[in-house]
Amino acid sequence: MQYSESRTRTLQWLTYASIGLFIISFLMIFFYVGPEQTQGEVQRIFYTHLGAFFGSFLLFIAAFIAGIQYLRTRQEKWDDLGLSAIEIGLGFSLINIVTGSIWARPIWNTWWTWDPRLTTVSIMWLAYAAYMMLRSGIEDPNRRRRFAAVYSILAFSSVFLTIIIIRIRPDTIHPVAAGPTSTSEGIEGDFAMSTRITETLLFTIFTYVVISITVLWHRIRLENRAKQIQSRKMKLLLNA
Amino acid sequence: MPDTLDYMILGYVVAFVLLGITIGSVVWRYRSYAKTEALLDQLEASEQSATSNPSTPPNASSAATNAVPSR
Amino acid sequence: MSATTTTSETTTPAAKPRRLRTPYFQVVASLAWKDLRAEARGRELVNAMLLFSVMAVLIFSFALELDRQAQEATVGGVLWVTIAFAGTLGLGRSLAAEKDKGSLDALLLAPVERSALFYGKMIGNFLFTLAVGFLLVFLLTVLFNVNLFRPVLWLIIVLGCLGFATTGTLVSSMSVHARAREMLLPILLLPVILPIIISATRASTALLTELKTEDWLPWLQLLGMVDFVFLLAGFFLFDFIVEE
Repeated sequence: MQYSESRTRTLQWLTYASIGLFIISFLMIFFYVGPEQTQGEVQRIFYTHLGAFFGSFLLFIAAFIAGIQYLRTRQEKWDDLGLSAIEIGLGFSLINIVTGSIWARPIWNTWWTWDPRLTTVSIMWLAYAAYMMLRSGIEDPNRRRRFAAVYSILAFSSVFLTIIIIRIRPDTIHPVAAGPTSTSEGIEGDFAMSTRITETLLFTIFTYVVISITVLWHRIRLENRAKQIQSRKMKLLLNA
Repeated sequence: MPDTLDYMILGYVVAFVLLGITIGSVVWRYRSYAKTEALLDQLEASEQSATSNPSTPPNASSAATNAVPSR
Repeated sequence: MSATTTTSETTTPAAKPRRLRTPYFQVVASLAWKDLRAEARGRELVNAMLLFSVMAVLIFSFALELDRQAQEATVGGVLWVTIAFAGTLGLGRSLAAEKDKGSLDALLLAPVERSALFYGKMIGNFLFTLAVGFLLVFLLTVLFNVNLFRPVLWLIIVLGCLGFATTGTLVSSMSVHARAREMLLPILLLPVILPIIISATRASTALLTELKTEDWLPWLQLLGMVDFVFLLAGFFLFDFIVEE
């Protein structure tokens, strides 16, 4: 293919690494840490919940930067990055929302509540879903790329809001502001257990970040491949 | 300690299904593109042999692939 | 690359006298004035928006026949939902009309700053949305029996409509180029304006249910901040939407 050998090898290595990390974090979540005292087994969801959040967060930031870069340089690769990041980010963000909702049922006694952070996260998801609608609605490819870049910048306001909402409305019942907080975690007895929770949490977040980068990279290659196929088809049609 | 095992299992099943869909959609499209590419290879090869030189060996299609600008 | 640098070199000397001819604020004002005058003659946009909001409020007051306390708690929500939907109705018309008549292209050919065009269009939309907002103040006071004549609530309405018009102008100038633009506009617009709608609704409701100042002030601050961010975003991003 047209990719350099070393990059392909890096991607391959990343793919294996993310599979390995996923297995290790799975084992850590289910066997390394014990169940949490006040929440019981359901607390284990929490690791994936946060991991998926950080993955989607990273991807949306990437899409925001890609939007700015596309408007500045007009290179198609930035548009590819934006589209790929948002598509994968939507998946991760959905994992984040759904696991949060399932976790909330036994803990908060409700599937859904208009907690500030929950609200902003769902707005974020809707904004990026609308981005996909915008892309499919505009036919001229140049204009589509430009509008998509503009909209990805606009949609980033919801990500920004998600970060700062905690500062504006400190009354959120969300247990985590940024990383693990020991106050509402209600960590079990001895200190050794709490470090286990922290370790598992950090490791799972790291795992999801690596997975999101790997899937993003594959998704970009997929986009390149689609374009290549498109140009080959056009060439064939022109010759015919 | 409350018994919340059911919700934990439900949460992880849903999470892994969604993760599977996210990654699976990429894999699935990779596969379908590979099929399209094979078809294109075939078409390009048959066209080449039909138009320019009937005795062109089948590896002419790889030359056509290289002609696509790399990025 | 070299082509773009040469064109920019040739246009820079010409750009200075042209900026002298039409000052920025004059462009903004005359464009807003043009929209207002066109509206004053035809009145199709504002009439549709006002009529729609009257009907929406009637439906709400019928569907939510509530006791007094519950009415106080819901009236803020009714206010903002109606403003958002009536405003979306107006925005869809406003730029679609410009585009179909070809006047948008003519405006873009004019030697003025693009962002001035944006603010001009935005002010027109802002005033129309504000008209809906103030009509609703009367209407809801009558139909919901809650006194909405409060200066702070008016400030919330002004800020909310400003944010709505800014975002709406930006998004609707994109959606006019889309295939199913009437359908796409609300889908694109609502998630982006939700921060505005939510903070405005929360602030209004907290104010109307006689909560303490510290319960609505953070939402008002958030509203102001979001407005500011979107006003700035419009300045930078409108150029990219209308170029070519």
